[in-house]
Formats: sequence, C-alpha cells, structure tokens
Amino acid sequence: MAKTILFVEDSASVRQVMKTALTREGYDVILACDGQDALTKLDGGKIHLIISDVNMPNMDGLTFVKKAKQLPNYKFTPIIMLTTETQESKMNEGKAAGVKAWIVKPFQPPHLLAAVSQLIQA
Amino acid sequence: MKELIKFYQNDYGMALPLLLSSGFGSLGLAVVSRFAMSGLVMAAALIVMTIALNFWGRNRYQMSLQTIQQGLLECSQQENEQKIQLLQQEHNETISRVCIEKIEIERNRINTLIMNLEQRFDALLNRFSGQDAQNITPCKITQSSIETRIADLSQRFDALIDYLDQQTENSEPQQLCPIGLVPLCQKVLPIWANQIEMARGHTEESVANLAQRFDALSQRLDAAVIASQSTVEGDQSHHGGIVELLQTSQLKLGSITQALSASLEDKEKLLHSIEALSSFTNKLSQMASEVSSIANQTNLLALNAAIQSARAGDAGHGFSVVADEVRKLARLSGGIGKQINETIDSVNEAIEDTLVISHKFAQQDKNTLNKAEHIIDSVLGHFARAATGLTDSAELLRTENNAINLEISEVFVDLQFQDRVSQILALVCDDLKKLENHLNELNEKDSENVNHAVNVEQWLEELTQTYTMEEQLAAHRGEKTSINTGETSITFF
Repeated sequence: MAKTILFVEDSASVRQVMKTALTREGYDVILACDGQDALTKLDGGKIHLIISDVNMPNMDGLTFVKKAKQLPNYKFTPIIMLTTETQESKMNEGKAAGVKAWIVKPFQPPHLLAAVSQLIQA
Repeated sequence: MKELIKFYQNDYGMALPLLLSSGFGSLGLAVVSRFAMSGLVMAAALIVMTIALNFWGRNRYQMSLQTIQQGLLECSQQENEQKIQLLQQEHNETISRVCIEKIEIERNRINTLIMNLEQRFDALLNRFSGQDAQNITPCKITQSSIETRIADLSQRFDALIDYLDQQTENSEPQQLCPIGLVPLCQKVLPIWANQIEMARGHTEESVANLAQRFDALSQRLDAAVIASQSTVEGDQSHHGGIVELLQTSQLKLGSITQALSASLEDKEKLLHSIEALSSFTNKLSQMASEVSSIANQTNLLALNAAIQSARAGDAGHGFSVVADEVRKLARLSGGIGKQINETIDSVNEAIEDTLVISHKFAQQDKNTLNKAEHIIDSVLGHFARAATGLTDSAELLRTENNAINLEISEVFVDLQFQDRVSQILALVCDDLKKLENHLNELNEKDSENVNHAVNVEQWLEELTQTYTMEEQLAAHRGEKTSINTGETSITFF
C-alpha cells in the first residue's frame, strides 16, 4: 500500500515539482498551500510523513508543526522542513518543535527523496 | 549649675513661711499657757499670721518660678544657638561638597558633549571638505578649558555656516527633497509594488505551468519508452515482444522445414522401398520362371509316366490317369507361371513409372525445401535485423530518457529559484509599502509641523531582519554571491 505524504508549500511551482517527484516514486501526495490549509487536511486519512515550508502566509510552517504535534494521531509523524531559511535560531526552533530534517532550497529531488525514504521507513 | 542652686534656694525660701508659721504656732501655745490669754484670740492671731505668711510664701514661690523659667529659657536659647550654628556649618559643608561633585559630573558631561560635538563637527567638515573649506581647522583633543573649547567650537561652527552660506549662494539651489518628490513617491510606490506583485504572480503561474508541462513531457517520454520496450522485449515476463515473435517464428518455420525435410526423407525411404520392391519383382519373375520350368519338367515327367503306364497295360491304367492329372496340373502351373510373369512385368513397369515420378517429385521437393529454407532464412534475417534495430532504438530511447529525466531533474532545481525570487520580491514589495506608509505619516506630520527625520540606519537594520537567505544579506551589503545548486543542504535532527 502506497504511503501518504502531506506537502505544505505556498509556491505553486514547488508544489508541482514535488508532487511530480513524489508521485513518480509511488507515494500518494496531498497538497496544502499554507499551515491553515494543512491543518484541515490532517482531519482526513492517515498521513505517514509531512513536508512543510517555513515562510508562508496565514500560518507559517513552524506554527503549523507545533499545532500538528499536539494532535494525538500526528505526535510521532516524521516532519521535514523545506525552506530557504538558513538562520540557526529558526532551525533550533524547528528542532524543538519535533522536526526531523531541515532541507534548504534549492534542493536536488533525488536527495529529498532519499531523506523521505529514510524517514518514512524509520 | 548656678541656676539649679538658685532653684533650690528659691524652693527653700518657699518652705520658710511654713517653718515660721510652725514657730509662731509653738510660740502662741507657749504664750497662752504662760499668760493665760484667751485661746480664741490667740488662734485668730495665729491664723492671720499664717495666712499672711502663706501669701508671702506664694509670692516668693512665683517669683522663684519665674526666675527658673527665665534661667531655663536663656539656657535653652544659648544651646539652640550653638546647635544651629553647628548645623549651619555642617549644612554649608555638605552643600559645598555636593555642589563640587555635581559640578564635576556636569563638567564631565559637558566635556563629553563638547567632544561629541567636536566629532560631529569634524564629520560635518569632512562632508564639505572642499578646497574652500580647508581654512576651517578640524577640532583637536585639547586639555584647554571648557569655555575656551566652546568658544573655539562656536567660531568653527560660524566659519562652517559662513562657508555653507557661501556655497549655497554660489551654487544653484539644491533641495534634499525636491518639491513634489514625496507626493510622487506616495503615488508611484504602490504602483511599483503592484507591478512587482503582478510580475511575481505571473512568474509563479508560468513556472507552475512549466513544471506541469515538464512533468507531462517526462510522463509521455516514460510511456514511449515503456511502449518501445514492450514492443521489443514484451511485458515484464518478456511475452509478446518482437524478440519473442522472432524466436517463435524461427521455431515454427524451423519446425516446418524440419517437417518438410522429414517428409523428403520419408519419400526417399519410400523410393528406396519401391526400388527394393523392384528387386523383389525380379526375384518373383525368376521364381515365376522357375515355376514355369518346374511345370514343363513336371509335364515331361507326366508324359514319361503316361508312356510308361501305357507300356504297363491295364496295370498302368490307373497310373496313366494320375499322369494325365499331373500333366494337367503342370500345364495349369505353367499357365499360372506365365501369368505371374506377365503380372510381374506389369508391376515392374508400374514400379518403374512410379520410381521415375517419385524421383521427379523427390527432386522437386528437395528444390522446394531448399528454396523454402532460403526464403525462411532470408525472412528471418530481415526480422532479426529489424528486431536488432528496434532493440537498439529502444536502448537508445531508454538512455535518452534517463538523460532527459536527469535534465528534467536539473530543471526542477532551477524552477525552485522562482520560489526564492518570489520571496525576495515579496520583501521588496513589503519595504515599498512600508516606505509608502512612512511617507503618508510624514505628510500628516508636515501639517502638524512635527520633526520627521528618517532614521536610515534603523530602517536598514529592520530591513536586514526580514531577510531569510544569505544572498539577500550579501546583496544588501553590495557583495556578489554565487548560489550552490549542486549539493542539497540537509540537516537531520
């Protein structure tokens, strides 16, 4: 059975790129355009991994991650942050919130897919 | 101490009337007892004397009290005066000390202010360090008095003001903020922001479409490769491909040629059998000749027997009957032998005809088989070459597909820069809006005649705080940056 990944990103182009890359690898992909939208998507079926941007309108990625981690079903779901943000303080904030990996854009899709595969099987 | 003694003396004086009255009482008692005077008279006299003495004593007491109060008053006044003098002295000393300290602090502060003023003056002087401004000497750190330094500074300021006035008079009027610039900015800044936002939106949409099309291209290419592979190699279990078709055709056509070869071999065997049959007919013919020969000899033998039986007379009559029958059988056998010979000849002819025809057919079959094998080989060769070509094409397509997928992967990396560009433009838009708001505020404050100086350093610092990427900071500092696109930065926690 294919694993499901929730991808949260405000940039339509990156959403498209990632959907393509993840679908080609055989994952089911759910897309959300910001943190608020993503929280509504968490009400649905089982999600095995979350990939989220940091700087987004309405609700930023770190706030979303903190809220998601408060939900019992997603307490242990691995989360990858995919962002242009390189500040140490933000990374530490993400780490404290329970993020498993921090990937800086631009990224090579195979590298991201390797990280996804590593975390989704862990 | 004197006052205290005096006080006790007065106290004693106050007690004296009492002692006197007691004495008078005792005297009165003695006089009454001695001179037999009326006791009432004596008592009255004593009462009068006692009252008189009492009044006298009270006056004395009041007088002494007044004296004491006066003494005390004088004493306390003297002490108070001394204390006041001491306090005044201490107060004056404290005020002097505090004033000196305050003056020192103020002096230091003024020194610092003057130093700052001198530094600013130097900075100002550097900004206008033209040829004409060289006669204005820069400030130097000196140990001269504050008044002197202030006076020097005032002179330098006056010189600078004169210089600036002179410059202003000589040059064309320059305005730090030309008239109409603020309203222009107020109008044009939102337009710039809208234009950037619109361009950002278009780029976002176009790049998303581009990514989608690349995805579609990639998928179609994959489908083409899969179709090509399935055409050449068949499905996952290698069924239905052209290679399998070729192999199957080779097998089936091979089996046909094998069947034809087998048939040819059978025919040759049949031919050999017929040839063998021909040799049998010769033997049969020989045997038929032998039968005819035996029949002739039997006939001769029967004839001899008949002759001998005739010689024997009646005794040989029965034997002559047998001999006749034998002769009949011999003739019959001879006739059958002849018939056999004739039949064998006919069979021989038929066999020879069959052999000729069979040889002819065998040769034709051989030729047909050779031709068929040649044609089959030729067709299979064509098929094999076509299959090899298709396999090569499929392999080339697969290699190209891998290369294109790699290229598409690189394109996907490049497409992500749209996101970075989008974020950079969004920040520029935000700053333009901030500038617009600031100008609106300035416009409002202008009417209220409020100081509206812009803190440029603070503005730039706030702008720096909004950056999320290294290249934004580098661009802010005016440095050139190169962005690493090869390695993905991944940090696992």
